[in-house]
Amino acid sequence: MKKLSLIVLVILLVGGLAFGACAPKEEAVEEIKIGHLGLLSGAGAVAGRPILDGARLAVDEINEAGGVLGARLVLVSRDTGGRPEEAVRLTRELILGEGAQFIQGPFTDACNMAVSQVGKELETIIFPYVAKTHRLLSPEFFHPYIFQPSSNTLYEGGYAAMIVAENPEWKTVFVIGPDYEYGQMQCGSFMSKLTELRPDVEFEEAWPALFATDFTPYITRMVETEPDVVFIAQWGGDFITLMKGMAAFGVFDVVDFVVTVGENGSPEFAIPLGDDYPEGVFANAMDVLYWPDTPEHRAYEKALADISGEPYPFGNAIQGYIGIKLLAAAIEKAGTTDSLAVVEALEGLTIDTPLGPMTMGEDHQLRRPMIWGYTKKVPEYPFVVLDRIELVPYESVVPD
Amino acid sequence: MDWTFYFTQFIAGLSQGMFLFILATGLSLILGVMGIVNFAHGSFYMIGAYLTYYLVTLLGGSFWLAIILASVSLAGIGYLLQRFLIHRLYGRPELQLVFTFAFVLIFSDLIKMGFGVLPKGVAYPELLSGIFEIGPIRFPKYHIFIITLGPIIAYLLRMLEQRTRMGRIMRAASLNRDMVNALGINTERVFTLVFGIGAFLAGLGGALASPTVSIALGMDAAVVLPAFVVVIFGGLGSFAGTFFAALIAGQVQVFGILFFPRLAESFIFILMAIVLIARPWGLSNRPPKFA
Repeated sequence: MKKLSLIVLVILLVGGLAFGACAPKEEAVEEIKIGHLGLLSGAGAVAGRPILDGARLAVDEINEAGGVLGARLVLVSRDTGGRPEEAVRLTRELILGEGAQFIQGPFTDACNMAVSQVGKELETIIFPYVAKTHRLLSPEFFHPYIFQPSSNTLYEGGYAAMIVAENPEWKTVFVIGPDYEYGQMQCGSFMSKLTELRPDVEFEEAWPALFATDFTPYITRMVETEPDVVFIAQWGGDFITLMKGMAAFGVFDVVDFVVTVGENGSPEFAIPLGDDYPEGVFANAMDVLYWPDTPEHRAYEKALADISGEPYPFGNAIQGYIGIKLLAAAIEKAGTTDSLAVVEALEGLTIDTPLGPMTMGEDHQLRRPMIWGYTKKVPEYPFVVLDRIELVPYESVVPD
Repeated sequence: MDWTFYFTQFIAGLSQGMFLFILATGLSLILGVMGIVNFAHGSFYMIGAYLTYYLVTLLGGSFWLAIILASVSLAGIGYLLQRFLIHRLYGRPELQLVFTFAFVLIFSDLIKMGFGVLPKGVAYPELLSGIFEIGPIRFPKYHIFIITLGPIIAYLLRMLEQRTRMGRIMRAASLNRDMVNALGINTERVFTLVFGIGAFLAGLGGALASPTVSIALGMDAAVVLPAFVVVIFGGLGSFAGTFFAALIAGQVQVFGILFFPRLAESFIFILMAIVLIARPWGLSNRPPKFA
């Protein structure tokens, strides 16, 4: 009986293989593959997930309009979990295994620095979406295939410093940031710009680990030192946990001003914080669903809400969206998917975005303005929104 | 830095310790009495937090009612798990690891399907929001509440362990299950109860922790290892041991982060290594024997 079952099994297996081999091949459609390295798990997923949605939206829009150079755009996504070794491994897999011709992502700056080198080695364009460290394009790490399609830490930390410098009464600043590339660059940029503008300011620093689960020792330190200003570089789940802790310990009652960078003014971070997000926090965002009130922006937000299924579309999505649009426009302009030709097409390229035109610099840094404002509770939304919004151009903080 | 700073850190260590204790004590019970390594314990904690989020933030219910409902639901889930799966795994640690870990993945995916990947928040209950001030010391009321709740739970469990028949049976079973069976006691029922209580405590831990953390996927992994460490170096099956181990772990964590933030994740393991080298059976007196 056992022997019979074995024979039947073998026949089924061989039959199945033969059948598979004979199945009619799908019509080979010309495709352009873009690998997407996402941050889709863990504390960073709140920031990473919307970016994939934005990228998918752009891909759908472009394909509906006829694709790029007559070919279909295909997005192949992977989850790096925020680990640089994983990001590097997945980059190779996407390029060598899946045949991806361009890489969008990864997310964290530790991953960006690592994957950039893979792009250099495999001569493939690496297009991160929220790369912040200004070291990414510095002379020692630069190569033709790396681009920075978001603002950087020079701009963000710098602008935050410019705002804090304006008030002469603020003399003590508590700086807290995650202890890795991004946090160090962001806080470093903030502190050096502020020292340049206001040499009288004193700093107190705190460096929790990235994705730490408890910030109590640092928060109690904040309460103890009673600074005038708190500068927060934590993002994603870290920002949420930190703010909750700060609310619980009454930090917002003892400090005059809280400023944070890293898109913490976006709805995706305001929503989980609910009432624990106080008013008057100076924060920024890549995009907010409620501003600006132009037809292009409204259309984008509606399409994003549909594809993501989120009632309040998230701010980070636009970076995934803009990245794909930039790549597609450059490939069109170059007339080929050859990497170096697309690199040349990207340099100096201006495209239209839901926030207005944006230009990719010759130096591979996108002149990306960010939305800055002060948090405020409003009746229309169950989360804090940014008030007194300004779209601050890259050049006003980092002159060309 | 003056004494108020260090004292505040000490209180922070106490509240950390008590959160850890509530979670670890259920694990200690399951491991000590039943000899089961329950990796899904962290998942119970996570489910407790998500259920509280569901009941409080989505349904707008009372926080206190939500805590009770969440914990009782976990007891139910624990009962079902024990009844249909766990009871087949006695004395087979390799299978316990595989099966309970399978449930870690299953629960995680179920939560992802039900709630998505974005972190959730639960507001502090009205009664306990705000700061408790004594002189220069300020600490959130909610955390003071947890610090007082921990010993109360410890006391109740100790009474259960020492003064009730069920407690005696549990202690006996943790020492020698076969003998208990031979004496005609239905260990199966005892174990179902124990697993249920363990799951209840894990769910309670998660529910109580929910206002203080970002409720997100991965919180199960973040707590399960520290919980195991506390159970192991506290001495298996001993509530007192788990209690003191949790207290020490809480302080080590808080002061460790203060002085060596880059080692933050390692402290609890370093502590475990030190304790086990000195006292291989943990802090409690008796080396345990389980079937």
